[in-house]
Amino acid sequence: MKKSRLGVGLLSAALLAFGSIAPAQAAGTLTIWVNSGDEAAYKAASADWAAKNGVTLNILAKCGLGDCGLSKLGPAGAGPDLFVATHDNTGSLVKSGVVTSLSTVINKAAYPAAAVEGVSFNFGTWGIPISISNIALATNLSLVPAGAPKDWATLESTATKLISSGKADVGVVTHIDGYFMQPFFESIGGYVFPNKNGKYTSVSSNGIYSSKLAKNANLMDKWLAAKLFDKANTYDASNFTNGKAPFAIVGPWSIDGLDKAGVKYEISGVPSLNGGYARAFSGVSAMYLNRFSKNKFLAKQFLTEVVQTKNFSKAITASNSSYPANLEAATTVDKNSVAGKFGAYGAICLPMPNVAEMNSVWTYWNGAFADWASGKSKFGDAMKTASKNLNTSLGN
Amino acid sequence: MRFSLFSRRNLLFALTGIFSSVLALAGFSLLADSSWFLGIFFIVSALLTIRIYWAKSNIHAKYIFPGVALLVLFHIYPAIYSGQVAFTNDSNGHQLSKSQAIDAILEDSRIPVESQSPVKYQLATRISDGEIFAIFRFPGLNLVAGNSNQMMLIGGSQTVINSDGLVKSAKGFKILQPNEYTLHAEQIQSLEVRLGSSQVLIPDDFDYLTLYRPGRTYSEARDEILDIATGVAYHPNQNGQMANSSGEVLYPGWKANVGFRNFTSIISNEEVRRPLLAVVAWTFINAFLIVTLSFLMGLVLALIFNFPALRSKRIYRTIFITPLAIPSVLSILVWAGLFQTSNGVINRLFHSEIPWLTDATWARIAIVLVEIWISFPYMFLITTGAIQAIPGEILEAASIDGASHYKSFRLIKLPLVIRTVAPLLVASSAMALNNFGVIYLLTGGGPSLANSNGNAGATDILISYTYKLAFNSQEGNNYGLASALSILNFIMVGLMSIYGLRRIKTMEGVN
Repeated sequence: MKKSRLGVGLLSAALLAFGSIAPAQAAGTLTIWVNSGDEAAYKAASADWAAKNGVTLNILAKCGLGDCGLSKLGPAGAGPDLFVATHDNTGSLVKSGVVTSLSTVINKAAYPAAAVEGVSFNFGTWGIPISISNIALATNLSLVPAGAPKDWATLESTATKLISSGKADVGVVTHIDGYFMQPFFESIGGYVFPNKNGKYTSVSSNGIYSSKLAKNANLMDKWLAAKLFDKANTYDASNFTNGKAPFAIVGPWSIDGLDKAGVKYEISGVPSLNGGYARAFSGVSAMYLNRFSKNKFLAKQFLTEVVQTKNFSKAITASNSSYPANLEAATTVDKNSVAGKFGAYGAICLPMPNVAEMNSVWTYWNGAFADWASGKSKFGDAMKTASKNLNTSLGN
Repeated sequence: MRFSLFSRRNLLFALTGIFSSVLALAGFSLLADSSWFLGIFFIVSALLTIRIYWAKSNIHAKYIFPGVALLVLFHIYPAIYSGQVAFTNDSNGHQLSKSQAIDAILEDSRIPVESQSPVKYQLATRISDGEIFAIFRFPGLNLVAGNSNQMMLIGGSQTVINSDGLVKSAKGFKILQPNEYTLHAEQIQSLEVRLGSSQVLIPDDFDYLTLYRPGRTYSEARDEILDIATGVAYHPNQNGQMANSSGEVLYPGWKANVGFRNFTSIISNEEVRRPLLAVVAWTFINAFLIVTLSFLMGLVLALIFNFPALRSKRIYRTIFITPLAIPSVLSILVWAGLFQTSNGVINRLFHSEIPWLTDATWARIAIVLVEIWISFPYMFLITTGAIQAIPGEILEAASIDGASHYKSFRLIKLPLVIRTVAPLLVASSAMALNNFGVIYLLTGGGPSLANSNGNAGATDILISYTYKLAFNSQEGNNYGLASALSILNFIMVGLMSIYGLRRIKTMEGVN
C-alpha cells in the first residue's frame, strides 16, 4: 500500500513536470514554410523586422513543388502561418479552401500585371509575388561561337550541322514534357487554354490539338528524328556541359550547375518558328496565408512590412538567381547578368495557367509528350488523344 | 524489510509512472485535438500500464501487453483508418469539415465595399463574461461595441474619451492595450460585426475594420447557400459539395461518406480500370520472376559453395552477402545511374544503346535484374542453411545405394530444401507483391503505359500505382480511391499467402 502511494506520488510529480514544460502558444510567433535552399535568405531578409517587433520567426524549408502539402495539412491544423508556392497552385489552393484572400493586403501597383493576374482567382488575390522564374535557352559558346540564335532557322541549322558532323549528339537538352516543351509547342501553333495578351479567357476549350498544330505536327516528328531533341528524355545536362549539345533548356535552378561545370554559355529566349521568341511559361513564386493560421493579422503585417518591400524581393531573388517580382527591385537587376537575361525573356513569357484544371492538363499533356518521345505515337496523334481525353476529363 | 528508495520495485514504479503519465498527457492533448481513437487509446494504455505493472500478479499480461499495444497502434489502427478512408471522397478539394467548407464559401464570396474607407477600431473585453468586442464609430452610428453575436451603443456619460478620439474607458468593458492583442489574436481575427443583412465589418488587422458586402448567405435551417446577386440556391450533393439545380458546384467541398463509390469506380471508371489490368498482371509476373529467379540463383550458388573441395568458401559467401548489407536505397540509385541510356556504364560496357529505363520491356528487365541482385543473397543464405541441415547419413546412404550426384540432388536435397524454405518463399512472394522501393527509385513506375496518359507506367505494380493516385499532385491526391485500391491489394496478397501456406501444409502431410 505504501509503495503504491509512492508510485502515485511519482505519477503526479511527473504530470506536473510535463505540464509545466508542455509548449504554450507563444504570442508573436510566425511559422513560415519556404522552398528548401531559400531558408537562409528568408531569415536574413526578415531578421530586422522580427527583432524590432519582438516576433519569433520559424522559417523552415518544407516546400518544393506543388502546394506544400497545405491542402492536407492546413485543415488538420498542422500547417504554417505563411508558405511559399508557385502561382499555378492558386486555383487548387482556393478550391481546397486552405488559403485566405490577400486582396486588401497586396499593393497591386508594385507588381507586373501578369504576376498579379497569376495569383488572382475568382474574386480574390491570394498570394504576394516574390520572384518570377521561367525557362530559357542556353547556348554553349564553345560549340556555337556565334552566340545565341536569333531565329529558328539558325537554331535548327546550327544543331543539325553539328549533329551530322558528329560534333554533337543532340540539339537541345530538355525534358520532353509540357513545361519544358511549351515554347516549341507554341511555336508550331499549340496552346493549353485560349489567352489574350497573357490573360486566359476560358478553360472550356483547349488548344493542345489546335488546327494550326495539326498542320505543323509533322515538324515535331522531323525534329525528333533529326535528334534535335533526345528521345531518351532523361535531361542529360552533361551533354550540354561536355560540349555534346549546342543548346539546352535551362531554368534559374540550373545556373549553379552550369557555372560549376565551367561551361561558357549565353542565356536567351527560345526563337519561334514565326519570328521573335516563342513564349515559355513563367512561374510566380508567391507567399500565401493559411486560412487556418491563428496569427493572421501578424502574418498580414509581415506581408505588408517585409514581403512587399523592394529589398526583400531583391534579397531573395539574388540568393536563388531568379528575377524579382517587385517592379522597383527589378530595375536594379543588371540587364546583362544571367538573371537579367532570364528576366528579359520572362517579361514576354506567358504566365502559367493557375486554374485547378491544370492538374488534369499536366497529366494528359505530359503523357502525350512521353508517348511521343518513346516512339509510341506520332506527335499529332499523341496530342489529338490528349486533347480529347482532357475535354472528357474536364467535362467539356 | 528495510526500506530502500532505490529498490528494484520502486524503480519500476518510478519508470512506469513516468511512462504512463507521458502516455496520458499525450492522450489528453490528442483528445483536445479531437483525435478520439488515439486519445482514448493512449489514456487506456496509460491506465493499463499501471494496472498491469504495479500488481504482483499478471505475469502473462506483463509480457503480452507491450506487443499487443504496439500491434493496435501500428497495424490495426492504420488498417481501420485506411479502411474508413476508402469509403470517403477524401481528395483535394474535400479536406475540410462541412462547417469549415461553408465558412470558407461565405468568406470567399465577400466583396470589399470600396466607397467606405476602413474604420478605426479598438478592442475590449466585456467584464461580465470576458467576451471580445470591437469598439468603433461607424458613419451614421454613435460609439458602438459589437461582435459576431451582438451590437450595442456605448456612448454617454459613462464613457471617457481621450483627446485623440480613442476610448479610454467604458462602463462594463475593459479596453485592451495593443500589447495585449496577440493574446486574443485568434478570437479577434474571427470577429465580424453585421450591419443588417447586406453589410459586415471585418477586422483586416488590429487597427481597422473593412466594410464588406456578403456575396452569399447560408441558412442553417434549410441547409442552403443563397447567392445574393443571382438568387441561385445551392444544396449539398452526394459528393460533399454545395451544388445548384444544374449541377454547378461551389468550392471548397467537404469530406463526405460516399459508400462503395471508390470500389465501384475501380470497375466503372475507365480511367482507373484501363491501366489497372496491366498493372495487376505485371504485379504478379514481377513477383513470380523475382522469387523464382532469385531462389534458383541462390540455390545454385549455395550448392556450388557447399562443395567440400572448394577453398576459401567463407570469402565467397561474404562477397555474395554484401548486397544484403548495402542499404537498398543507395544501391538502387546507383543502379539507376548504371542503366542510363547515353552515359550509363552498362551501355558503355557493351557498346549498346539499350533504352533501359525508357522502353517498357527493357525497364521491366532492368527492374527484375535489380530485384534479383537485391534478393538473391537472402535466398543464398537460407538455402545454404537448409542444405547444411540435411543429415550427412542420408546422402551417404544414397551414394552407397548408387545414386548419382544429380539423383541425390533431385530426390533428396531439393525436396528437403524446399520443405524447409517454402514458408520463406511465401513470405518473399508477399513482399515482392508489395515491392515499392525498387519500382519507385529505379523507374518511378515509368515509362508511361500507352493509353493511360501518364496515370500508370509499364513497371508500376499495384502499390506504386496506388501511391501515385494518392500522392502524385498531378492526379489531384485522391486518398479515398487509393485506400480502396490498397484494400484490394491487401486482399490479393492475403489470398496468395493463404493459398501458399495451405500448399505447404499438404506438402508436409505427404512427407
